[in-house]
Amino acid sequence: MTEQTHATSLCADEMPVDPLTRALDARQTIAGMIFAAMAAPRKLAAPAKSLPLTVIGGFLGAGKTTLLNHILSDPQGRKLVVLVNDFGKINIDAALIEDQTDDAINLTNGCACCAVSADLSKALAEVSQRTERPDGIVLETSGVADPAAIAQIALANQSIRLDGILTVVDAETALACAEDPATRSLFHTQLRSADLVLLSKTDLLDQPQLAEVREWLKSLHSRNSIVEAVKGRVPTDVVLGIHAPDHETMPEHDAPDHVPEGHGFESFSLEHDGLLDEKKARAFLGALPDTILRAKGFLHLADKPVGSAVFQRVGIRWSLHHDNKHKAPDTISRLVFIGPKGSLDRRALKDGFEACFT
Amino acid sequence: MGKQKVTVFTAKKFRTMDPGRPVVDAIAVLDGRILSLGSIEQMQPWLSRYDVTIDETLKDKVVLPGLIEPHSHCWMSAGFMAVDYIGPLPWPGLKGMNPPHPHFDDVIEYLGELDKSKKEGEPIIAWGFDPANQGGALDRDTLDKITSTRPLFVIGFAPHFAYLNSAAIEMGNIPEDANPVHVLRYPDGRLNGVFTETEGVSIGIAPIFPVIAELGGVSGLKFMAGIGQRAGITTIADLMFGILNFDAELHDHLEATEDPDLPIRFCLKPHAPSFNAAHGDGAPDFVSDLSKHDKDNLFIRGVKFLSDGSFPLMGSLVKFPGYLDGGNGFPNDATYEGMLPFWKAGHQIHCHANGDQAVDITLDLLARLQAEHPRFDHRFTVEHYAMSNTMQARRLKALGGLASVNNYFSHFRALLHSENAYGPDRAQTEARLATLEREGVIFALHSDYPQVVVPMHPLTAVYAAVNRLAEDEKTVVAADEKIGVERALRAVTIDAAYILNLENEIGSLEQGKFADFCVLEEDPMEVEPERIKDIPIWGTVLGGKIFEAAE
Repeated sequence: MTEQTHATSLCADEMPVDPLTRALDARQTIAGMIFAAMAAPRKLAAPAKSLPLTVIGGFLGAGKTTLLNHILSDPQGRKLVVLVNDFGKINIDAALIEDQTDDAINLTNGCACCAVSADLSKALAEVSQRTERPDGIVLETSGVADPAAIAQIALANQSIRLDGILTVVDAETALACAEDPATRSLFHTQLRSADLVLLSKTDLLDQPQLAEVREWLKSLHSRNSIVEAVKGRVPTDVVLGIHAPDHETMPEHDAPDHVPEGHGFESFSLEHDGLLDEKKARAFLGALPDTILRAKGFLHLADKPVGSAVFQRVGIRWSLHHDNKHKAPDTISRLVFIGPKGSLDRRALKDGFEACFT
Repeated sequence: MGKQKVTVFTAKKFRTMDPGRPVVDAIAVLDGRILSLGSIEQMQPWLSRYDVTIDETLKDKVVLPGLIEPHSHCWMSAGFMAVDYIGPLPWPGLKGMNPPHPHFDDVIEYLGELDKSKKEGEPIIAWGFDPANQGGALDRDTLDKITSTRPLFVIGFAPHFAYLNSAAIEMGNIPEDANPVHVLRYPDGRLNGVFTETEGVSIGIAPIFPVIAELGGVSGLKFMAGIGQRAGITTIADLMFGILNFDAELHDHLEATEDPDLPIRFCLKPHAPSFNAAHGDGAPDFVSDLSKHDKDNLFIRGVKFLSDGSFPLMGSLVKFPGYLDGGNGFPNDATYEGMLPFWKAGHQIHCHANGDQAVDITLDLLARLQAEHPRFDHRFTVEHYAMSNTMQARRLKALGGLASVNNYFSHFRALLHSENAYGPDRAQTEARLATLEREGVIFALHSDYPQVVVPMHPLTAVYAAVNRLAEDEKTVVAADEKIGVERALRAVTIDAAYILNLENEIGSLEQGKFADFCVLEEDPMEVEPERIKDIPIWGTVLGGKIFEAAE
């Protein structure tokens, strides 16, 4: 793809924004990046790109805090640092709280939740310098922010890698937000930034209304994958990615579904002994159906015998990075997929995967 | 033991800002401080006791006390000096307004000029390319025609794109297997230097961050000091000390102030919420202890809070009827609980307040502090005081507070904000200086440079205060808020020194104070008021050492 066609595809989504606002937004982002560079510790404690960051955007009242409360209460083994915009609304079961100050809560499950004020770069710098490195950072943006701009600023910290951007959209008010001249441009900006869109409060609509919102959202931004939730109840693996730091922690092939039942999601894992042809693997992974919300894999590539390749997918964005230092216990390649219940074509995934082996 | 050395400076006129002795012919300097003022004849009882040199360098000049910039942000902004602007609109920069680059060809030409002007090996980091407005397309081969050996990074106006030449690509460690949607390639598989969206841009520009941090830091502070010096400034206050990177900020200021050629004294005001976060109950003591670093050109004192957002970024909190579009700004980090420990410990508090609602919030905080723990001469200062009503000045006086006013906006943005955000009433009464004068409030004038879109140039603040001409230089806004030239000069000299709690050291030319001068070609009290901002600035003197302004 050439640069021009790519630029056009982005611009097609662009809503008209008045020049003053556009200029101020641009200035804020570039200033944020410069401040982030200034705020970065002169000696990084965490290795480059070692801390996955999930950015959670969406309007005030869209349901970001509800989602965060859910993740904090049930991190499924992850030690997370959650940086929140509206600290006052964080509501955690008292039994889970280890200690609490005016702007930070430490939980018994190993997670921490901190208020992030204007100086995001500094907050991220502090997290990246912690001696006990978290499994992930979750950042809630303000309701009026462009999550992609915030992510760009955060990535000035070299120890952070972007896992994904999730924008929460209130099913009940989405249509109105997209129409109202005061919120229109921000709404589309936030949607355009998202790898995953979390459609919240779906229980407040009847079926035909919900179907209409769904269709409309899909028609707006083909790049987005849409997840639906009531009261923030989404599997943590969908929001933050599949929690498997290495081969050994990947869900077993014959284990029950990795994601808990009752949320409307299913997972499916595959494993196969042998070496993959990289070209075939990239073709297969790049052509996975859009319904797959999250995927992760540890693969053995035929022409890269040392180490293994890590595959990650959020929405339709994916990466396959080979890591020489990544030790594998065996020669088995493993993949796991998460999608809405009933959406995973297990037969096709299995056949496609197996066809990649030399 | 030989006699100590004294230098006597002569000038066409020294305007001392000492109302009891406003004009003198000569000033004698001993050890960087003023030994005596008057005529050389009057000073003889002093001069006969020293080894005297008469320095006539300034004999044709008009000399004021060194000007004071009581609110700026040098350290955090110095990183901007690493970045050159290539966008389609005029844009505020470190050296004033950057000219626009309307077309693609202008961008290419300007990048070529940058290549010629930069030191060998220094990368070019250019921001603002906007193909939708400027046309054209950039990629590796196009940029290599400008230079393939010097790293060249171009960042899009809205930074969704970055464009790198071959040398810049080599600086980065671009993963071979990077996603081709974000890291683009030519059909033959070569990287084409175009990086898209958050993920691609962050891979592409990763090498610039150490460059920005490097060009900021000590060399950035010296660069900013030079900008101040060319504007006649001898002391700059930083009103956000410690907010980004306390260790680096302290280290860089300590190192920069060791340089005997640094033409500026720095006064640092710790951002209290950052210190509260880091030190909890111990924050007031920690801040008090910072004064152990004080020396002749570095002072750490007072603390800073904020009660609303930015004026130009339209974050000010205003009262009825809000913004033109029905919106409003946002509250910030100023709280009673945050302030009280510092207040009780005797610290001076500065509180940012742009809109009239933020001024109310700030005055309410001061009233609560006074009720809890009454203090005299506390010098609580409302910073910016951009949009206020008349009775707020009276209340500020009643509570014993001061104001440090950003009045540049009445000149640079009164018409813009008549139609955007604030509406004509508030935009045009921006900086009610005559009201403050009538109510007896002591005030200073500041720029907030470079966090807002105005230059750091106190004579422009004086010009704005006495003329109240809007950005078209024709429309007079709120004429009855004009003040006189002398009062305006006080607001960038002795009254600014008072607000920084440094009035015993700087701000006027009086015996015992530092010999800090602003050296002008013309007398601001005598030129037509509309010309004050254009008076040529010859240079400065800091502690008796001459700094002629470089081009």
